[in-house]
Amino acid sequence: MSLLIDLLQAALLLSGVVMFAAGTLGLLRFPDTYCRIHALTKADNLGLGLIIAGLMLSAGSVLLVFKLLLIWLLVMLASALSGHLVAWEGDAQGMDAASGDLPSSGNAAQDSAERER
Amino acid sequence: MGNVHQEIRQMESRHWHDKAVPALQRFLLALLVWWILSNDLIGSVWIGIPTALLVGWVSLKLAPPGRYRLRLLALPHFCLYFITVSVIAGLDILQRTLSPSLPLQPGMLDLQIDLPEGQPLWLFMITISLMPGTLSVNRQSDSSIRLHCLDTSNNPQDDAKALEHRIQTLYGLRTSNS
Repeated sequence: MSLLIDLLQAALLLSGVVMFAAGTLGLLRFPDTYCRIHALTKADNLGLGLIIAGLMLSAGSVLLVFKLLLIWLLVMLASALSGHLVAWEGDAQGMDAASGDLPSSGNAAQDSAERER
Repeated sequence: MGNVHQEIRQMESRHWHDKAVPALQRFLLALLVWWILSNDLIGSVWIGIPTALLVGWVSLKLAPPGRYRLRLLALPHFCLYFITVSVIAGLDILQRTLSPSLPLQPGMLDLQIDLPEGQPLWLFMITISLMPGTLSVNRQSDSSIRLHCLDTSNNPQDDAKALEHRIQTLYGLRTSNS
C-alpha cells in the first residue's frame, strides 16, 4: 500500500515537472506575447497543481494539506491576474492579435520601408 | 404609525445584519488562514485574534461586501469543473508546444457576457484565463469582454458561454438549474 502511494506520488511530481517544462518551452516557442501568456498561466497552473497533489499524499496532517491548497490558490490567482494585466496592456498598446506586432511608431521612413517589404 | 415604526426598525435591523455578517465572515476566514499558517491556534491566540480582527477590518474597508453571494452548495460542483478544465488546458498547451508544426491560430474574440459587475464578473475573468485556449484581455466600452484565443477555429465562444452559465448557477443568478 505504501509502495503504491509512493509510486503515485512520484508520478504526480514528475508530471508536474513535465508541465512546468512544457510551459517554459511554450514561452520560448510561441510566436507572440499573448500566446506566451497562455502557455505560462495554464501549464504552470496544472504543473503546480500536480506537485501540490503529490506533496499532499505525504503531508500527514490536515493542516498541512490546507496550507498546500492555500499556496496553490494564491499562485493561481496571481498568475491569472498578472497574465490578464499583461494581455490588457498589450491590447492597450494596440498589439495585433494575430501577429503580435505593435503598431509602428510614426516614423515615416521606417513605415514605408516596412510596407514595401 | 406603529406600522411605520416597525418598518423602520426592520430596516435598521437589516442594516445592522448586513454589516455584522460580512464582518464575522471575514474575521473567521482570517482566523482560519492564521490557523493554517501558524499550525498552532491556541498557542498563538494572542497574536492571531488581533491580527484576524485587523485583517477583517482592512478587507472590509478595501473590498466592501458585494451584492452577490456564492451558493455554497453549488461550490463543489464548480471546483470539480474548474479542476477538469485546468487539466484539459494544461494538456492542450503540452500538446501544442511539443508539436513540431506549432498548431496555433490566434485571434481576438469580443463576447457579450451576461454577468453583473463585481465578484461574478471577476470570477469569470480569472477562470476564463485558466481554461483551454482563452485569455481575458479587457472589458470593452459596450460591456462585452475581449478574449484572446489560441485557436479561433476551436469554437472558444462555446467554452466561454458554458462558463458563464456555471457562474450564473454558482451565484444563483438563474432561475432554472439546468
